[in-house]
Amino acid sequence: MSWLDDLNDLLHRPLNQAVRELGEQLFGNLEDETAETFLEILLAFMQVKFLLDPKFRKNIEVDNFRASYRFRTRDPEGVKVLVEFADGKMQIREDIAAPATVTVTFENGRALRNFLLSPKHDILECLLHNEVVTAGNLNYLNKFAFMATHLALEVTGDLPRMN
Amino acid sequence: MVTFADLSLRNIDLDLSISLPRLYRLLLQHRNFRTRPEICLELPRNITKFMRGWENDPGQRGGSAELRAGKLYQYVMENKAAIIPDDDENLLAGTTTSKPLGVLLYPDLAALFLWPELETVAKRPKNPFKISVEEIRELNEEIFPYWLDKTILEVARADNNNPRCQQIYERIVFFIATKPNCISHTVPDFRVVVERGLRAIIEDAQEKQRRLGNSGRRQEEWDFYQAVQLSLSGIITYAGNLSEKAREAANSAPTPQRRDELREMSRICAKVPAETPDTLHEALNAIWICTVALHQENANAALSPGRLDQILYPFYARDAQRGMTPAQAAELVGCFWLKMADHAPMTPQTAEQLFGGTGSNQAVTLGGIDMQGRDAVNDLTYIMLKVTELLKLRDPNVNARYYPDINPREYLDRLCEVNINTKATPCFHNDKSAIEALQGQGVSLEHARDYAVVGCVEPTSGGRTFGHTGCMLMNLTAALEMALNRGIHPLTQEQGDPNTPPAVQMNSFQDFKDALEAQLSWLIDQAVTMNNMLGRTHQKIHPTPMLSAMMEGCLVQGKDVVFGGATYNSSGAAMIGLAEMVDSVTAIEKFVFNDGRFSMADLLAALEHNWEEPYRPLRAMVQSSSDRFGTDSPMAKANARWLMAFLHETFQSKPHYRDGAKYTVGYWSMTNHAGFGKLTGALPNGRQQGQAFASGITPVSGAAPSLNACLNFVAGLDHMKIANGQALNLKFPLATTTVKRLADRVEAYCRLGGLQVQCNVMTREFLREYLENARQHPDEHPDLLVRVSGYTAYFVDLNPLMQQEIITRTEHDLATGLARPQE
Repeated sequence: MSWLDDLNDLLHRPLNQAVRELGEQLFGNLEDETAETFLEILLAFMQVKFLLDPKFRKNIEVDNFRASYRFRTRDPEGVKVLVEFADGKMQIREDIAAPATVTVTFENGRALRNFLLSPKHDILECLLHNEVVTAGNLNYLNKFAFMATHLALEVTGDLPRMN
Repeated sequence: MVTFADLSLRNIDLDLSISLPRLYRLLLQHRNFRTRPEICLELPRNITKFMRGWENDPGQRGGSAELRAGKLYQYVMENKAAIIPDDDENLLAGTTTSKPLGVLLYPDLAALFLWPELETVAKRPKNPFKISVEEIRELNEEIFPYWLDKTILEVARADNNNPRCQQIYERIVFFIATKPNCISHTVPDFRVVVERGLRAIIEDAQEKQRRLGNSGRRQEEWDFYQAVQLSLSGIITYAGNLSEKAREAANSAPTPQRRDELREMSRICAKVPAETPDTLHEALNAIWICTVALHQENANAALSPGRLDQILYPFYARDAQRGMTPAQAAELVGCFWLKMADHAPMTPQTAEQLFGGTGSNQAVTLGGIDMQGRDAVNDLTYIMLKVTELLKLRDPNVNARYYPDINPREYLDRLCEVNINTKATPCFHNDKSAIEALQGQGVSLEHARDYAVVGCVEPTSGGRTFGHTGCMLMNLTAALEMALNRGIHPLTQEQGDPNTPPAVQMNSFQDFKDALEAQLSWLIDQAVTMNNMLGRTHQKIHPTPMLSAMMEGCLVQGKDVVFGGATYNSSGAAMIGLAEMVDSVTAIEKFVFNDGRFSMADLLAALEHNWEEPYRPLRAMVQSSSDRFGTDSPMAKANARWLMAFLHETFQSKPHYRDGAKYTVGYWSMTNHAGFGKLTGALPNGRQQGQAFASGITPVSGAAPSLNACLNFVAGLDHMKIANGQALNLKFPLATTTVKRLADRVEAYCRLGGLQVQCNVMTREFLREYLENARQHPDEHPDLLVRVSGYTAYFVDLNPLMQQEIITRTEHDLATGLARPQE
């Protein structure tokens, strides 16, 4: 790590602490949350992290990352969200008709959480209960799942550490 | 030729007489590393760096895929670190990865499936991989992003507009396609490596290129020959780098003996694989360096070295005349075996649940007959058996060929002795049936006699056939569930063939069979279309010049293997859930349509209730039926023959992406019978939702009370329709398993026409005790090798479903031939 990174860390430490505390509050009791709540919390937290954490922001800056993710519940009256990444920014919109890079249709918040968040993620269980269906480029979904998992691990203090 | 008086080579041991202390130490070291494989970034880093450079170089863009592949693998091999580890006493040079036990990542293939788990994979409970924070960062920020739209699976999707077959594939429950990960389920031609050397192949390619001239009319051929030259020259450079490294290491060797060994290693790598080897040591290192190269080109899912006792025998025989002892040869072979175990497959969490615990399934084939039909068992066969017996490694997966009346009985006895001593290996292939099955697929008699086993159990003419024998694994019961549910899969709600009537409207057994055939056809169509699509994507972006250079036919035709350059071309499909299918079909025939013991509506209701109350009495009736797979039942036999004939003929009729190639059918399941079982509902044979299926071509646990009947049943199936191999799993308690008893059974089974059989010599109590021991003392328990369905695995590495499946397998007493009562 260079001295610039160290300085950056120092300057952002209070902010990072605040973000972590926010995450703890948001991620804390997700077990029983509805689909809408889980997704809202995840996306909101992700957006805040992209704004405030340059290291995390790098995820969407590298290789001019552009992608759109549609998340929706199977219930037509339920959740419909489009998340777009472009120019190093994340935008959350209500679902629109435009094609998405990848679409995730899910039964409920628990299913989506199990699907996205490693180490809990259990695709076979999701399939077994027919809870999550994906359409589109799975590599983009894998990248999103990495980012989501990273946030969850950070909040719980389980991120891998330097040797 | 066999010269040994003692075929068991009892004077060679690891720890009694300490005649092989090096192997003993290497084995301990391997066991230590085995507990925690490390993800290696060398290959993905090099591939990505090359591809970024290629894309940014206007002079390169637009070149053919073949030429690009040639340059890529030349770059990969030239930039591969030559590693001679200080603490490694192995006599062979070359490492698959830069780690002691490495996990290779192929970013152009399936590595991106590990992306979500990069930060958790080191802590997952089953089969964790070590990875550093910096390596995670590099993968996440520098390597993986480049490949978002460039992997085989995603290029196929984009080129084919997210086709239906791919959507079906991604529901997992129908079939697994393996081309997103590799095409390496095959046997390369290592004979050409040791008989001619890479320099001669390069010269061949140059000459053929020269004859093409510069007209540009056959640019693809010209590019192919160029790719062969470039990539093979990369391998030679790598060998040269190893030579240099070994020479340097010799200068600081801790002992005079190690110094001499390293100098010898340096000399050998300066010579092979570029030139032809003269000794067993040189030949083994030549093959190993080429294997390392092939591992860079494709994920190693069953890249199998073939008939090593045949290929290497001339070198051994020459060395033996010069004074090499069997123990010295065993030491070299052991070094090779341990080298083959120097890497582990990349398995994401989901695959872990389906494939968990699998190695790379590199099949070594021993014994059998030669191309002229003579006994081919030789001294090296016995040396390799001895090494297998001593090391008890998961890889290589040792397959023994046996031809009754041509191979001597004492050879079969020795195979059985090794099986008993290792508890799980080798497995037995009946040469006569395997050769006939290959001839049925158009392989010449001589070439069929020279078959070698791929991966789990699949026979192919070694080094001549690009068979991708594990290109798909299909869940047969998905079709059954759809046939009973108007063509709709009950779990995923996917619509199969839409013309199937409601099951309650089926008025005859034939109506039901028609519906099942319709759904099977639909399922086969999806899987074949998917494989053909992926095959064309490999042609577009992933030619394999190194494998092609080591496959007979490609240089003659001027074609990469992915374009059909090999002498023989085919693709192999593995069918999973055969016994459940046969038992279910037979139950419907017997109880619904023949005896009228219950109606189809009753059956559907029982399935809906998962055979629980009030349907338990019906379940008991179905499960106690004597008409089941693995019994003397004519009805079950007829249904098995009908189903297998239908599958064979349907697959054979399908178009193939390599012109003229055929799809072949096999019955082996790796660990997928547990994974698919988990995703499958209750079935008409009384099986409840989520239970593991029987493995391979094995009867359902508890369904075959008589060993004789079981062996008769399976041996009576038409092996001409099982050209992609089978795995018949048997389990025998050690207490009543003698060499003679086991050999008698195997011999009788072969004479009846059985194709393959494999045996675990252990009881359920032993397995449970072992697991408990392993749980209590995770760092102390010894490795326990088990046969899964084809390959061998370490029992403790398997997922719980698979462990349970092996524990509950039927145990036959070899003294009485009767099954022990189920619990």
